[in-house]
Amino acid sequence: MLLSLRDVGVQLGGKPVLQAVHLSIAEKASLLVTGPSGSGKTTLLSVIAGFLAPTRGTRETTLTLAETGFVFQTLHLLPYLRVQEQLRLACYATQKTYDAHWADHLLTKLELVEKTGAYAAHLSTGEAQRLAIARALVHKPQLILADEPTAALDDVNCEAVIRLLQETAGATNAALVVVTHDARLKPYFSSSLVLKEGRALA
Amino acid sequence: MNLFSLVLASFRFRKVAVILSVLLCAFAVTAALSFIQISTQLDKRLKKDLAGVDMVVGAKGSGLQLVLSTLLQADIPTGNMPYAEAQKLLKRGEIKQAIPLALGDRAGAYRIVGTNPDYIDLYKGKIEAGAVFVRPFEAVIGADVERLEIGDTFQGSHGLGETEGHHHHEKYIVTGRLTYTGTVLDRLVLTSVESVLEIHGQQHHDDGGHEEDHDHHGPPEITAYLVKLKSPAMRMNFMQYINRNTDFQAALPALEVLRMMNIFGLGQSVMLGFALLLGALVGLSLWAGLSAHLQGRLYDMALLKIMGLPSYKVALLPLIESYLVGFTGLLLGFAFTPPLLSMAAKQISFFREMGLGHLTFTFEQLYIVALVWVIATLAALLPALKSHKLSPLSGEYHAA
Repeated sequence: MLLSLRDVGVQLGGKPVLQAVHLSIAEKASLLVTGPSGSGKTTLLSVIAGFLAPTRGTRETTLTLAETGFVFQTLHLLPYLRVQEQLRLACYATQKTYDAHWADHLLTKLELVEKTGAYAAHLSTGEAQRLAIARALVHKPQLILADEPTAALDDVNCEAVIRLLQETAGATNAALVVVTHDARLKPYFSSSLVLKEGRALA
Repeated sequence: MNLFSLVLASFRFRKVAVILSVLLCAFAVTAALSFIQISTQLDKRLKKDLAGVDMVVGAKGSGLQLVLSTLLQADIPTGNMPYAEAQKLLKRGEIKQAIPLALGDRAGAYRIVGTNPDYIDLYKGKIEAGAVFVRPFEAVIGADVERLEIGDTFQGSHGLGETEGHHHHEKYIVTGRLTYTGTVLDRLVLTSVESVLEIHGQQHHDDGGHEEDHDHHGPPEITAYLVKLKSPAMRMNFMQYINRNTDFQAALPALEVLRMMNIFGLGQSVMLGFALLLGALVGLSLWAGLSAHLQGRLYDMALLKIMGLPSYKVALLPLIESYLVGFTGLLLGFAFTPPLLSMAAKQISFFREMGLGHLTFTFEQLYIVALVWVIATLAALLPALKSHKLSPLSGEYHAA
């Protein structure tokens, strides 16, 4: 078991945002977390990542931040770094050796090969989204956490990205947790958790 | 990729902002360095130039002008005094040594001083090459005198002001060059008193006090004497004696310089206050530049932290940026100051005469280095501490 949440609750500004959530993430697991806006999806992801300490319940994990890969909803690319430098930075931050072949593979799959020398600030929204995904995967994390990874993508790119996330997770034996309200992703996951008003429905 | 290359990449992307921060720092450092250089050099130079002289005796006029023109070579003399009468006065028992100075001519930008070798000894000057002047129209040049070499001949021109007067026909020959002394000596051309008198048609013969007019312009005159008394305690009394009972004027260098400092508000407490104010301004401008620069990096630091970069490395990021900006500015400040001082010396004769046209190492400069270091550290500290509490999740900064 990579991570487990038991009876987790979070209050922000005195309001309950997450309530009594039980969740276990095993190795190679693939989980889709869905729900309407304000249902607590991002808060749950924050608790899983360890950014946010639960105000109730327990979080147990053997993972460190460096063993986790993030795809942030708002991407958070550094505008002054070129595409390849973004990937090198992820490896440096996680203290992993930069695997050029693996990085090339990711860039090819995400159709960014011709953009390796481009600054993040000069990429289109779709390209930036794909780069954020490549950055989350380049250091071969054991747990991949993605917050709305397909929000800015068309159907073709949406499928390419989710396939890549799943393939990469499979190739590196990593678990994958995707948080989204994008209904297009549902068919790609066998396991899902629906949140409503901070509570898990299924 | 490492922290250093990350910082350089960020600089590359924000060239204009970074260059402005560096220039702000450089200008602040230049201002502080120039001030320190001028005040410390002036102080040092005054101490050196005034050392060993208890009193200056010259023509009636302003005491300060007499001291500035003869000891610092930085003003027009008050006039001349009859050589013979002055010599009579200087035979008095209070006097241990009296060095004659005959001024009035220049060789290009450098003053010609008619004197004797005791003047060189007064400032601990040594002959670096060649020999000291012995015969009339032989000259010795100071270490900073340019465009003249041993064996060269030159003509003096009349006048000590900015504009050059008529050229004398007689030619001097350079017989020696002095070692660098860091005193007024370095920018002077020295010759015998007789050379200057002869060139002005005031030939003087020391053989039995006999004076002979060779169809020249009148009795010989001398500009001033630098006097060392047998006891410094005699200074006030002897000064009063000369000022009351003779046609000459005596001025005490220490007193006149102190008066000058007070006139120009250059007293020690004023200087210290100004230095502190300047230090505060340097500090504030540095702080403003660096802080504005680093506040924009909070987001990057929070992101790096979340990506798994150890906290201490995240905290190093603003420090590296701050030090790079601060110390590049510091180096540029050190690079800008010498040409600035040199330019000032070209434009302002006082700077030139006082040898303030170059940057020399002083202990006080270390304060500037320390100040830049402290401010750069402080400016980086706040963003470094803030980064610990930030998370870029969902595009908002959350308390982690």
